[in-house]
Order: sequence, then structure tokens, then C-alpha cells
Amino acid sequence: MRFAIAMCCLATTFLAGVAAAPVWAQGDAKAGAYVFLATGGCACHTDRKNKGPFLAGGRSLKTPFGVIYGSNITPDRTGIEDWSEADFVRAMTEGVNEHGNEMYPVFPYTSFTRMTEEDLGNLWAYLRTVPPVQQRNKRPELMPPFNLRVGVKAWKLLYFTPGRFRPDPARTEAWNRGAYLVTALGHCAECHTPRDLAGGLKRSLAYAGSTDGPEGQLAPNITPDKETGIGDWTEKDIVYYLQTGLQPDGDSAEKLMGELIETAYQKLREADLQAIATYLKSLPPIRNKVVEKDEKKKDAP
Amino acid sequence: MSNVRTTGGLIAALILSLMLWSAAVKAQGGDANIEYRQKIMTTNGQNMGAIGDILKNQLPLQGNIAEHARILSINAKMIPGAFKAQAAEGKTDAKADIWKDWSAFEAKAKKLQEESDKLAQVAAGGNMAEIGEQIKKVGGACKACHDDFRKPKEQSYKNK
Repeated sequence: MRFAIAMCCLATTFLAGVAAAPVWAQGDAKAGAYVFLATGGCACHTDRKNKGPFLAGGRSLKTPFGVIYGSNITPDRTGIEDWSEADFVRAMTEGVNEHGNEMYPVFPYTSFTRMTEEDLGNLWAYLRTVPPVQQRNKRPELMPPFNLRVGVKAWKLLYFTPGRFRPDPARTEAWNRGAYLVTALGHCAECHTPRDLAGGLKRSLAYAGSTDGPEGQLAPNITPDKETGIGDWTEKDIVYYLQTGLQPDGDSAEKLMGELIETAYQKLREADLQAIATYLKSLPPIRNKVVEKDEKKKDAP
Repeated sequence: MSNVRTTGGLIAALILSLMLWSAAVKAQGGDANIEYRQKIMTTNGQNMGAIGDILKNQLPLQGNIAEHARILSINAKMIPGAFKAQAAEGKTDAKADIWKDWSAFEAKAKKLQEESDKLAQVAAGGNMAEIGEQIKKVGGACKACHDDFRKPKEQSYKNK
């Protein structure tokens, strides 16, 4: 009898342990493929310009501090084959690599830190299914002192707040879903918010556009300001844009944003795109002219 | 008598050559060329935007989508001619690459024409899903040319 009770206790403890286990249990690769799309298809990790293999890295990312190359995130020895899921989660949410070294914040862990455990686990499962490609990572070409990884520690103290996304109970489910998609997965702020001299986001100008975005491209003001942002866009306009790359004035999305829409964002569920639109329209409008508005002008492109 | 005629002839020749010369100059750097081709491009945008308005808001004007597509196709045919004159200075975002890679530029205009023709066909069928897919292809044709031959926003003359 005592033996039976002991076995029951042991079994219960074991089961409780398994149930409470973090995402080290099997992630869902299919769900992970969707998370992957919502992040913009990890476009920084594929060298599309030179027709590089999928997620094998090599894409040059021009920053004001020099050039850094996207890394190989395929499950190859030259990629992340030897990483554990814990390594992956730590990189995504803390910006520390498998050797415990600081990662340059060109990799937007400043946004990914908000991802849920479930999404991280599923994304990890998906990445393990990607074809392995042998391609060594290129060393970054950053100007001193920005090339010093110890500097990143200091940078993080000023600019990085780790932590999961916290839904706002005062807001609707759709708004919270949109907030998560924008602030965690889509990491829109990383391009659409201007940065200061140290490369940190200027929070007072969140989403108000940047003339010096990734790859040197201009990222427009996407706050609902009527004069300088997308205040005259409806939620339907935003959804249609993310589905087709077509603006209300009929012009097509340029270069990088066009690529992100074509390869990733347009494949998201309409309800999710609607949630993104809801969230963006709720942002405080910020007057910050980054681009001339075409519709009001006589001349066209 | 022959002196007057010779002088008159000379003057006429001078005036004629001046006129031809100034016409040549206008053809090379003229704002009129820029203004004209910008109207064609604006018309493209307006028709793409109009189709978007119909689709986004489910306006009861789906029969017009094919017409807008036909307009785009006609415009696309006119693009190479409109850009023949090499005018890259002034209030324009046209890149000089247009005239360096003329055959590539022409090919991109042809692609827009083809995708617009396809949209007109698909729109006549009335299948909204198919129309949605084809409008993306037309947008893709716009983007493909813009990415190579139009200055990006950060270099646009409008932002200077």
C-alpha cells in the first residue's frame, strides 16, 4: 500500500514537472513558420540581393556605425546547429550569444525580448526544419568604439529593457494582439523610430519615421499624424497596404518594405493585419516630417 | 539685288539654325518632358489607387476594375516614348540609369503592360480572389521598375 502511494506521488511529481516544463518540450514548427512570417521572415538573414541561400546569412546591413552581416541561422555547423533552445531564447530575449558574448543590437532583441515563450519555442522548432547551409559568417566591419562588445553592455544599460510583452487589460483583444505583433514580432519601431548618436531609439519619436533606416533607406512616419504621418489612412488602407504593398495614392512600397510585404507580411491572417492597423491608429500622432506627402503636391514622383 | 537675297538667305538660315538648336536643347533638358511623363505616372497611381478604393471598401463598382486596368495598359505603352528625352536634372526622381539601361527600362514597362492586360482579363471574370492576386502582380511591376530606375525616398528631390 505504502509502495503504491509512493509510486503515485512520484508519478504525480514527474507529470507535474513535465507539465510545468518551459518550452524545452516539442515546439510546433507549423505555428513557428507563422511566427517567422510575422517577424518579417528574418529577412536580414537571407542575402536576397546576391540570391543567397535561405537564412544562410551574408546580407550586408549598413548602419551608421559600419557594416554588419546577417548571420547563418540554418541548422548547420557554420550556422546554429550547435545551439540549444536555451541559447536561442537567450539570444532573442537578452542579446547574448551561445558563448555568452554581447550581441550588437542591429539584431533587434530589443523587440524580440517581448516574445512569448510559446512563440519562441515554436519559432525554434521551425528554424530546425530549415535546410542546413554551409556558409561561414562574415565578421562585422564596425567603426571603433562601436566594434567593442564591452560597449554593448553599457549600451544595454541605457537602451535595453528586457521583458515579455504585457497585455493591457483596459484594451481590446484585437488591440493587444496588434500591440504584440508590432512591438514584439514585427519589430516595426526598430526601423520606423529615429535613433540618437549612440544608436538608441528616440522614444519620444516612436514610429515617427527615420531618414537613416536600415540599409540607409528612409522609413516613413507611421503615427496617425495627418500632416507628416499616416493620419489620413484608414484601418482598411493599412490592411490593404500590408496585403499588397499598395498605398492609398496608388504608389507601391519601396525596396526593403516592399520586400518584407511580398515575402512575409502579406501572408499573415487578415485578422492579424487588422489588429496591426488597430494598434497603429491608436498611437499618439507625432508631427515629424520625414517625407513629402505626394497627394497634396502638384508634382508626382 | 542678289546681295539682299544672299543676306536674307543667311539671316533665314541663322534663324532656322537657332530655332533648331534651341529645340534640341529643350529636347535634352526640358522641364516639359518631366512634366509630361509625371502626368502619365500620376495617372498610373490614381488608377491603382482607384482599384484599391473599390477593393478595400467593396464599392459596387467592380465592373470598373477592368477599365482601370486597360488605362494602366495604355499608359504602360506610352512610358518608353515619354521617357525618350534624357531629362535627369531638376524636379525629377528619374535616375540616369534609365538611359544607360534603356532595354531594361523598356522591358519593365512592357511587364507593366502585360500584368495590366492580365488584370483586365481577370477582372472581367469577377473572381475577387484572383483579382486580389493579380493586383499584387501589377504593383510588383511598378515596384520592379521603381527600385531600379526611380530615386528612393531618401534621395528624392522632394525631400531636399
